[in-house]
Amino acid sequence: MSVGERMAEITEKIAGHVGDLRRTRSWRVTAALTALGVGLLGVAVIWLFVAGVGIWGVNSPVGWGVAIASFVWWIGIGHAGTLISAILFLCRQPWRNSINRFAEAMTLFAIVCAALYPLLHLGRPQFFYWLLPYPATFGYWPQFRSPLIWDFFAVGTYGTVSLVFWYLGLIPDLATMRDRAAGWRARTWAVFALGWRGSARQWAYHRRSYLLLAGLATPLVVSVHTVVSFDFAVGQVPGWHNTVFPVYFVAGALYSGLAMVLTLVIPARAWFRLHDFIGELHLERLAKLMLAAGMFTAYGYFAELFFDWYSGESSHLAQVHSYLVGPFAPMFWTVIALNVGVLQLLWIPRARREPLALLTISVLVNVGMWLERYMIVITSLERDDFLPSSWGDYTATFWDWATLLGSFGLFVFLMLLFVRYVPMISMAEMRELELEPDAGADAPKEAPT
Amino acid sequence: MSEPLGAALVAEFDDPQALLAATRRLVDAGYVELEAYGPTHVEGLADALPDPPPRRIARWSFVGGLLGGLSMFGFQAWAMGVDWSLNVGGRAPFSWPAFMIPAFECVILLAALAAVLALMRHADLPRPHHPVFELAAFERASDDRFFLAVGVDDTRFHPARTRALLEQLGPLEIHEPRS
Repeated sequence: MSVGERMAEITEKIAGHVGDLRRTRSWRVTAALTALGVGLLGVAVIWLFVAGVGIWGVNSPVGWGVAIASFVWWIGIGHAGTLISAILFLCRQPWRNSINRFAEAMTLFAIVCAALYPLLHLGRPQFFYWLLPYPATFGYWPQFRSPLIWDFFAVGTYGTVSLVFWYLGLIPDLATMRDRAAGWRARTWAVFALGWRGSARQWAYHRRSYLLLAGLATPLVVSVHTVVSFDFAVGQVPGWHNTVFPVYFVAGALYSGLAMVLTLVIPARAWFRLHDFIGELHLERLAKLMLAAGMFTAYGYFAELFFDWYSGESSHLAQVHSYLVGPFAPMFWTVIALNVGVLQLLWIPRARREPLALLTISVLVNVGMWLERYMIVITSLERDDFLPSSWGDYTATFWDWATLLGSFGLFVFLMLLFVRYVPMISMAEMRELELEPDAGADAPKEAPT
Repeated sequence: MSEPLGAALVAEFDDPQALLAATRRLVDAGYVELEAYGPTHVEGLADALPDPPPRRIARWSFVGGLLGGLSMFGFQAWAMGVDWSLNVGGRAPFSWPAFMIPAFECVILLAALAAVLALMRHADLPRPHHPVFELAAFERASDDRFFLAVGVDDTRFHPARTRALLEQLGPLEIHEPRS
């Protein structure tokens, strides 16, 4: 097969999935199910606007409930997409070309879900724009010494840059879709393709700006969960006030994100029969990355407990005690079992290659990471004051859970729109692999001919 | 000279190496109004063209980042230190370590946006229509074929001699968009 023929095959296999009629029924059923979730989210949000944030279980002393735990979890999910698309690109890991578009889409939609929560949590969400420094008639500014404002800038920048990076990579593929379509469809694709014609100059500039954006996204992604951790670490609350938090949060973010990539890629691979593009090698490497990130996270658990114990300060000691053997022990040990225990299975090569095993492990890690965020946010606040008389309990309400379930619906719904309307693997990057014989052999792309 | 707006001859290849060799051959022969098209990035192709694209994008990105960082830092210092100096638990109005974080985020934001705007400017985007799209076969430039366009205004251009030169380079076909 000539290079051109192999490229034509890539185009056919990937672009063929966009608007593919053969899978329409299963797509419609799943889309309808997740649209119910979106509807639930809509109802929960409308009721929040009508009745106020009191419909959630938050009160003094637990002012941050499921909403903020879910915010931290969702924003963490996004990090793996940037790791795969930017950091592995800079490290010249060509195998990432098969999954980066997918992972970036996951990042974008996870940011959408994450960004909902702090805004809804504001109490008066309709005034969210007060977070923006604009010359208001009130004559005052957002409080730039507050981590919550840092968060707004970090998440806002992360969302914008992720969207731009994703779109930049998409432009050549949109041109392919334009050239394959006819009539109004072709005109629609043409608008988004911006008139891309694939000239050598365009490719050269495209590559340079893509590299630059990858370079900029790398420190950005590290900064985002660091800033999220500052929301906690800057406070005085035992269980929050800890210098290990930035590292621990970034590691945890990558860990949960890689678990989510696997959770999405394995079913998508089976559904769309993408085995030519996403082989065992990809799953195994993702599993290895997940193992590394998970071990860092495990170190974070250890360091947090160790420093709380080593401080010798009574409120911190009480926190350690409540995690290990006290009232929060069931939750703590569940988190450890899911995030550290189950992870150890990935040392076994077979577990890294068996899609079903890997899917099970990654789903369990996702659950474990959500529980970890719940534990950090809520149990710390329940014992937040240094006086036991100010302690309190938290119970999530129906609306807390409805918002969480709704955000899952929104996330999966957006992913479904993505696989239906956008080429889910970068055709341009897969074609480039055909030009490099070494890299092509590395990725199990083509069947031997 | 640069990308031809009115291509006289467009040679079609199905191999990027053939395109690269053909580009080099025409540049050696003194052609200046040339452009190579393909469905993916081909290393070295842009540098083989008569006027390789200058490296301007990083410069714009740097300027954007610098501007974003300095202006955000300055703005915060002014807003918190001068315009609305509020005592929060006795913390310094000019809390520069705190201001570093939004300033850093604005460095990244504006550097990224500047890089993309510079790309748009230099890569001639958005440009919904270009004369090369008139060629029906060009649809496959985003799929599996590689094209080399020679401009009609090139001083070296000669309908028969240029065609003969291209014929030697192993194209699948030579198109004449204007005929």
